[in-house]
Amino acid sequence: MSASTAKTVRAQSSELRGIDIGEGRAAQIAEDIGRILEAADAARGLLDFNDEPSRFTAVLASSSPTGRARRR
Amino acid sequence: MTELAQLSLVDAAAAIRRKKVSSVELTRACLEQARHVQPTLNCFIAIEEDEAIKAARKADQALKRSARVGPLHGVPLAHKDMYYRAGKISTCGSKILKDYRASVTATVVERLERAGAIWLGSLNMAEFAANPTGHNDHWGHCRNPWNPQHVTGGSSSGSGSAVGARACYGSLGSDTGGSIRLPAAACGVVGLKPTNGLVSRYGILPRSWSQDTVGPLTRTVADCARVTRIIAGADPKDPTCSTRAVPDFEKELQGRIKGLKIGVPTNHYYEGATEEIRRHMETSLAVLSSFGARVVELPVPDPARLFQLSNAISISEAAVVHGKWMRERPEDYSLYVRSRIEPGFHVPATTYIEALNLRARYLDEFLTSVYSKVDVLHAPVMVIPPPTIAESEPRDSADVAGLVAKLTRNTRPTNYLGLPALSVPAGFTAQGLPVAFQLMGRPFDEALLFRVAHLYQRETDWHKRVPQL
Repeated sequence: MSASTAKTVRAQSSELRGIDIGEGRAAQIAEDIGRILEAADAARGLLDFNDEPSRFTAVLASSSPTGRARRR
Repeated sequence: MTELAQLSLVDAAAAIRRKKVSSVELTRACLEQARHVQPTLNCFIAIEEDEAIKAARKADQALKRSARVGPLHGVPLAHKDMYYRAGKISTCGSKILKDYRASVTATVVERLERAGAIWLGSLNMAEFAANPTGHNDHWGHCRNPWNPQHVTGGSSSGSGSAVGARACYGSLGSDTGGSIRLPAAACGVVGLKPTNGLVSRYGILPRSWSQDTVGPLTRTVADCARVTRIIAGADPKDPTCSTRAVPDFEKELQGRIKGLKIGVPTNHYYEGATEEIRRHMETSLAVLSSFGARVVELPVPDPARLFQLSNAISISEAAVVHGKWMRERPEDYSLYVRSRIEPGFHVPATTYIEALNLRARYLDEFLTSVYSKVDVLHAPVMVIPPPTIAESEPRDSADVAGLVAKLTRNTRPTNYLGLPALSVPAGFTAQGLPVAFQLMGRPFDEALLFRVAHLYQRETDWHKRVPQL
């Protein structure tokens, strides 16, 4: 995915959200978003088409203590 | 400060139950301390003196009539000002909600009331629970009881400060990226970020509903175990809340930890740590080893990438919560908070959902590569001592992301994974500022974290030290 740019951020902000921001701030936001997109790009390969957000809760629920310490 | 104000929550509750002291006496002791420290620490947004004394009188009368009382009967608590009570103001530390009266009461507040707790007042917090330092431009900065020039940590700033200053026996905070553990660590108290789903979020200010958790800040681990038992458990009003049975955390404090494997991460968690922090971590591990626990060094899946994915979720959800106000009254936000919300409007929806979908993958990976080898992880909450208020004040929006990352680098990854983490006082720097370690564990294994930390507190007295104010 291409990096988010200050120009895109400014346009999105004013045209889609009705919020005007300056060029300098738009560049900072583009930088913040760039770090997030980079992390998502790097991880995307792990995903399967069957994945959905609720699987997280299922993994939490199924991974409760194995009880090694509790049995002591 | 009176001796009564220095009791732990568990001891205060026992003293009331045994009629060695009345709830009115304890409430007055806390109110006196609250009034004394408030001009220095600014930890309260509202002290509800008359209502608290009235409730304490009722508690004392109830005890005269019946010996069957709740586990917090007559004990004064104060909470982060984002726990709704129907008809009462919850400012959420903001200008925007300064007159907001919720129409519902938070489930956790109802549970504490049923357990007999007294509501002493509402505590200061970072505006909309959205900064990790405790700065607040609208209600005034909250200050660290060990040195008022330094930050309390946030966003549950008032909770850390008031519990540390002995102005209440315990407090509810909330943790989305470290907001309980950071103020607990910076103010020298105990703080639990529970497993996602252990405690109901109904009736609280949302920050990032996928990662928000509710937990206590207290003076001791035993206190924390008691409050957690009371507030935890299924809630039909919060469908994300687990229906599993809640363990008797206090009973489970009594076990041993011989042979327990305590993991120490060899990557990420010590990067940038001061020598002093490293030394305190080593000393605390030596204490735990003396109980027969084994320290195991191991690499953990890269927390830095978890940090960014957590951030993607957090800022996207916050942008939805705040969208209307950001359009209509942006000037009513502080620079700090506005700067944190703005980027959320620009995360692509697909990236947000990918970050949500990846949580299960990374949790699986973490459980396999870490918690199949060790029982708990031990690491510093912060790699630096609490900074001064002046040095952590953002001058420009560009400063904000760096400030947030510096403080939350060791806490936020755990929110992404939804795992429990307990912040425990572990000493003081040469300048007299608190240092803390965190114990992180498997899902819903709070009992083990409490047990390890309770044993640690039996051998150390950091939690008994009281700031001179």
